Amino acid sequence: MKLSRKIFLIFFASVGITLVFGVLSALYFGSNGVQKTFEEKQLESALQLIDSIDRTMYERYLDIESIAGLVIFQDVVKDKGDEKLVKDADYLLKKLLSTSGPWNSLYILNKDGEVAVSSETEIKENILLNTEIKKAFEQALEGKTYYSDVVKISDENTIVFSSPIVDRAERGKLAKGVAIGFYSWPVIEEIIENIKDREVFLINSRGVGIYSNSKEGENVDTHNHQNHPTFRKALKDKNGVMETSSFHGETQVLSAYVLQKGYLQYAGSGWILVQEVPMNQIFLSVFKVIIPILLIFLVVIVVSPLVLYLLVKNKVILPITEITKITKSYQTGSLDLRVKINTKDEIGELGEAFNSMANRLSEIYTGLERKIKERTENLDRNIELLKEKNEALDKNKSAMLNILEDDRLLEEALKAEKANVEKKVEERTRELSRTKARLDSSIQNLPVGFLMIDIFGKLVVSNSLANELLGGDSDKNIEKLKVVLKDKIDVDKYIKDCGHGSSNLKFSDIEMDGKYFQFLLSPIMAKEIAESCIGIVVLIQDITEAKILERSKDEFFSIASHELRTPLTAIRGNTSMILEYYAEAIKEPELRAMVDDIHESSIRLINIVNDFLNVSRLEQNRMEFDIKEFDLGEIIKETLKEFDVTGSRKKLSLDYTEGETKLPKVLGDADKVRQVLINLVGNSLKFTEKGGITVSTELLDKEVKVLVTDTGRGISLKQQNLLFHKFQQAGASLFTRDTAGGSGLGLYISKMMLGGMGGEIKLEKSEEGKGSTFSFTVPKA
Amino acid sequence: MTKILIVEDDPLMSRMYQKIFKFEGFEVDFASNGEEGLEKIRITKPTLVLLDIMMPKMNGLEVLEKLKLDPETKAIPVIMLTNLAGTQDAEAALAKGAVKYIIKSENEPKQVVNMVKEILAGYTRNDVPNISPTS
Repeated sequence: MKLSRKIFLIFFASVGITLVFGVLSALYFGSNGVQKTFEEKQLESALQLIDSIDRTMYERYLDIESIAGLVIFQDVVKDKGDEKLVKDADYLLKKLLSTSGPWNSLYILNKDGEVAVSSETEIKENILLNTEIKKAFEQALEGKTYYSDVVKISDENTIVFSSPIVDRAERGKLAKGVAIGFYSWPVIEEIIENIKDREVFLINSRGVGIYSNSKEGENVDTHNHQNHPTFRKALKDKNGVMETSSFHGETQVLSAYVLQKGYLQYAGSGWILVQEVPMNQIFLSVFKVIIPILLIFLVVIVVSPLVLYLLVKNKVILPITEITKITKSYQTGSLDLRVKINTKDEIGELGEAFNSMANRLSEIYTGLERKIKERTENLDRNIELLKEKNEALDKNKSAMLNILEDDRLLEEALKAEKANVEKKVEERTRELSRTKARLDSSIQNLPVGFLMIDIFGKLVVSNSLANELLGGDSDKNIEKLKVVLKDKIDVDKYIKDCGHGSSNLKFSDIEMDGKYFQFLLSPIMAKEIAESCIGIVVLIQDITEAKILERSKDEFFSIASHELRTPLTAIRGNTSMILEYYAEAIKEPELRAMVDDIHESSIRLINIVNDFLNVSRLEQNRMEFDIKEFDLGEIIKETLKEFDVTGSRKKLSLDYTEGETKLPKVLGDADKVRQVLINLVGNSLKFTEKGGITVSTELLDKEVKVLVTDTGRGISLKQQNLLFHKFQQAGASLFTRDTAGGSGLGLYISKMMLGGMGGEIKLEKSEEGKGSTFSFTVPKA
Repeated sequence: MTKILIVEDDPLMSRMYQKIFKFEGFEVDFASNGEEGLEKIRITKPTLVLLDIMMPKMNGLEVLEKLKLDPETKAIPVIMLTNLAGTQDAEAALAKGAVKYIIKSENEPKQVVNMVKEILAGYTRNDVPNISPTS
């Protein structure tokens, strides 16, 4: 952008900004100031108006006093007998009384209230019947000059003035009479009516309108404005200006109010004069004042930058443009042009400096041309020298050829060496292919499917088993692999990530074409290569057979359980029925004992079968635990009830010692806890001959401990180590096993069951011949 | 007379339970597989059914399911009588509407009769809950 345009834009912007600020501030300060002046003017004119009213009233005050004085004067001159003066005074009085002027009527009354002289031709019988006049008469009779507020006499507004007629010599005595005048109210009305540019309201001290020049309805004049804000403000502040609603409506007005101040002896009646100017009229007048100012302002701020702009353009930009033009001409090589600027300012200096620079440049330029010529001559000389040197070099060349012959011999030696290396490489390659063949054959003969995939997802090698299992070759195999494993892993991602983070993966039980397979995925890491990961290996193993085997093992347990126990249950059931229903038929005691034994054997067999099955389940983690919250105390009580100790031939006691504090709920499989307890109590009963068994509980931090203490034969230290092991009753050897009846699995099963519930069983203490204490724990709920 | 139907494939078991219920004065009938059992229940409307689980043709749980679907037979109380010891089977049977689950090897025949008596005392034929109280 050109400088001139920039400057113009800056000017333009500054003018705009100044304009906006100027207008806004002019409007703001201007309107405020003008309104202020306007308010002052209003107040001033209101004060003047009330003052002129006060002065008029004061004149009437003086009038009535002078009339009273004139009566005295007349009396005095009468007494002195001066005919002429009497005549003059008479004339004066009559003239006064007959003057309509500001007075409606004037009366001279004697002290009895009779009219002596009057301006009226027809006098009513007794003017004192009117209370206002009577009051004025009485007040004056007391010796005071009096004036009333605006009152109505003969239906006309007026103000009653009265003054006592007292001889100066007899001052202090009762007045001889009274002069009374009714002031002609229209005089005031005229004063107010003369004001045209605003509405004026005159209100008496009680807020009742006396007179107004308002055209807005007749009732305004006499309306009671007692509660109007302007009236109340006037009572309070005497004079002032305020924005408020008009006396005759909702119009917003600027209201100037003044309280009657009086003039000298006339103190006034407390009237209030209010002037109203509508607000919109004020705004109009404000604008009338401001707009010419704004126009001048506008002209000044638009014109002055323009002048400034022209100045800058002529004095700065044009010279600079010229300098630029000349500088450009220098680029073409001619240095002849010079700047013509004659001003004495900075631009002038710039021009001068430029010219002297141009002179200097032109000097240097001519100097340079001379130097170039000199250098060219030097160069020519040097080229001569070079030619001489070249000749010398040619001589050296023949010496070089000899050296090249030596090089040829060296090359032959190298060739021989190369042949040797190639032979070695061939040997290695053969060796490698043998290794590869061995590897291939191992891979092909692997009993599992083998796939090797490179990092780009391409099949490197697969054995025939893999092809058979996946039903295809190369890429088809990989596709099949992805489909089969899609629920387990994203194969593409595994291949991509194999170098970092992914490790060997194993997926069992993958079903494919009705058979079960195990997949092993493993990245191939090559330590010698920077990239490290070169692909993955997939091994596929058919586990269908193993699975069938496993399932049949599962089924074996339930079938064995069912099949073994069914005949045993039949033996047990039938013998018990014989004992119960055919007691008569087997009266023979020997026979009965035998049937009894068969019955008991069947029970024992069932228990042993149950124990065996439980051990298998526990060892294979196939035991189901139904872990719930339960009341351990209740379980202990119920379990002990099942033991019939009183009926046994040994007469042992079996007690449950309940703790003092109530047992908290525990978490476990109640049925299994019951079985453990049955085992422990059963063992104790088995190995105790006299005394009894006590079950008690103990509260631990996180669990409850159940203790089973007996007074049995106790367990030797050596035997203690064998406890809780499979088939280890605390007996010495297989052949000296205790025949107390049982599988020898009870404690082992108990230990395993508690293990499944987070509990523990142990031998607390045992002393041979005195008894043992076993304990187990169950976690608190 | 109270009629008990024993559905049991193993003749040893079947005979034993027939005997004990006869001894205890019940009218007893029996079926030796699931299908036959279902048929007999529909025709004879026994007071109570003792139902084995492992049986040929139709297993006990299937029979129970069919019984409970049929409005004619769903009110007949059914006791599962088995030698399978898994708690899962017990829960499955009770969930399907069996009144009780008795493991044969753990109870004397007389105990089984007592349990049946107890149940019959507790419920009339028309007032059998779908899911029984636990034992």
